[in-house]
This record gives sequence, structure tokens and C-alpha cells, in this order.
Amino acid sequence: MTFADDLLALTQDIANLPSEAHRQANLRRAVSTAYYALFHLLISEATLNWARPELRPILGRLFDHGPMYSASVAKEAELNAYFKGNPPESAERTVAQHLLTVSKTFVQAQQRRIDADYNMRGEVTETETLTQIESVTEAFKSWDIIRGETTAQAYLLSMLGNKDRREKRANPPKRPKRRESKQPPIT
Amino acid sequence: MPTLGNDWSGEPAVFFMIILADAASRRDQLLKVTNRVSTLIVQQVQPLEQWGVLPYFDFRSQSEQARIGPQSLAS
Repeated sequence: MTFADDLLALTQDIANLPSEAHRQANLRRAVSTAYYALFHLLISEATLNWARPELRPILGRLFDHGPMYSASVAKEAELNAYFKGNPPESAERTVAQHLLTVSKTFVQAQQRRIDADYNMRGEVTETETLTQIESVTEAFKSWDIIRGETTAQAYLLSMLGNKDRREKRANPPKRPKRRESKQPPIT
Repeated sequence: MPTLGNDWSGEPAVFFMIILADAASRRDQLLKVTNRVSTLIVQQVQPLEQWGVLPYFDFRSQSEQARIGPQSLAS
């Protein structure tokens, strides 16, 4: 069992707890962990292409939430446009449908994870939690079907982000110097 | 009623909180129902293409909503 599978199984364990055990901490951890299951699945699938297994974890660290989000938003928009044209049944359409499932689930799951981890204004419900778990489970199944397809592999590659973005992360723009520094530093 | 706001990355977004009948929010029905609802909204409203906002969907059962009451999802 891979780490991603393990994370997904953990969410099922939480969901299968009796209802009285569904405290906010449990539900929020399940929502967050389901996102991380998909996050790690996609990264591990991408790094499998690297021939040296011992270096795959280092390659995996190049992936980040932001570029993965951007790639998924772009892929979802591209595939929605494709389906708007009512393409006929074909192998290409089947692959596109599964890839749409993965990319849109990534975007939705990521936002739910942020809310679960940081937004304490509202309550996370059992239905919201199960929606997250079930949709990520479906995305795992879809990925398993298309993982060998070139378009699916290209989607993984696009998650590394573009050159400009990587350079920005490596060399963040310098802030202009302040003339007065009377305020204490923010810690 | 959808709520306009920004998603975690700062992109303009629309948040739909959809209340499902309790029967429709059973675990064995949930994926089918939520997929159908979100796909229908994306196809009919086209939030990104027509309005430039990313759609986000959350689902609650009727009984959960009755217990909690309305709350905004926009951040």
C-alpha cells in the first residue's frame, strides 16, 4: 500500500467511526487528509517517471500546492470546453472524463482542506466530510484508469508550474527598503 | 444562495452551499448526487467562462442545515 492509499484509508477509518465520535477535530482531519491523499498520489505518480528511485522523494519536493492548483484549474477549464463540444464516445473522451474528475476533484478538495484546517467560523458536517472522501476516492479510481495515458502524464508534468513561477519562488522580489524602522519586527 | 468571494489563492470564486434531502445525502447516494448537481450548475451557469469566477461546491443534508443554520463559505 502506498502512502497515498494509506492516507485515503485513514479517512475511511475516520468516516466509519460511530456518529457520536464525529467531533470537529475528526471531521476536519478527514477532510484535510483526503486532500493530502490526492496530493501525494499525484506527486508519487509523477516521480515514478524518474529512473532513480532513491532520488524520487527529492523530486517530489519540487511540487507545491499553488502550481498544482493552477495546473488543475487550467486542465478543468480545457476539459469543460472540450465537453461543451459534445464529443462522440471514444477512448479519448473516456480519458478526458477521468482526467476531468481528477483535476476538478483536486481543486475542490484543496479549498475544502484550507477551510477544514483554517476556517473556524463554521462547522464541518458529516455530509461535507463524506463528499470530500467519496470524491477523492473516485479520483483515485479515475487516475488508476488513465495513469498510463500521455495526457494524464502531461497533466502531472504541468503541475510543476512554469519557469516564471519557479524563478519567483527561488528569487522572491526584494521589498523596498524602509527609511524609518521604528516599528518592532513582526515575529 | 451562492456567495461571492475569493478562494484560498485569492482568485475570484463563487461558493455554492447546496442543501440535499436527507435521503439524497446517504453515503451510497452522495457521490452520484453531488456530481450530478455540480456538473449541472457548471454546465448551466458556466461560472468561469461567463462570470470569471471559480465555482466551489459544498453539500449539507437538510437535517444538518436545520441544526446549524446558514453560514458563509467565502473567505
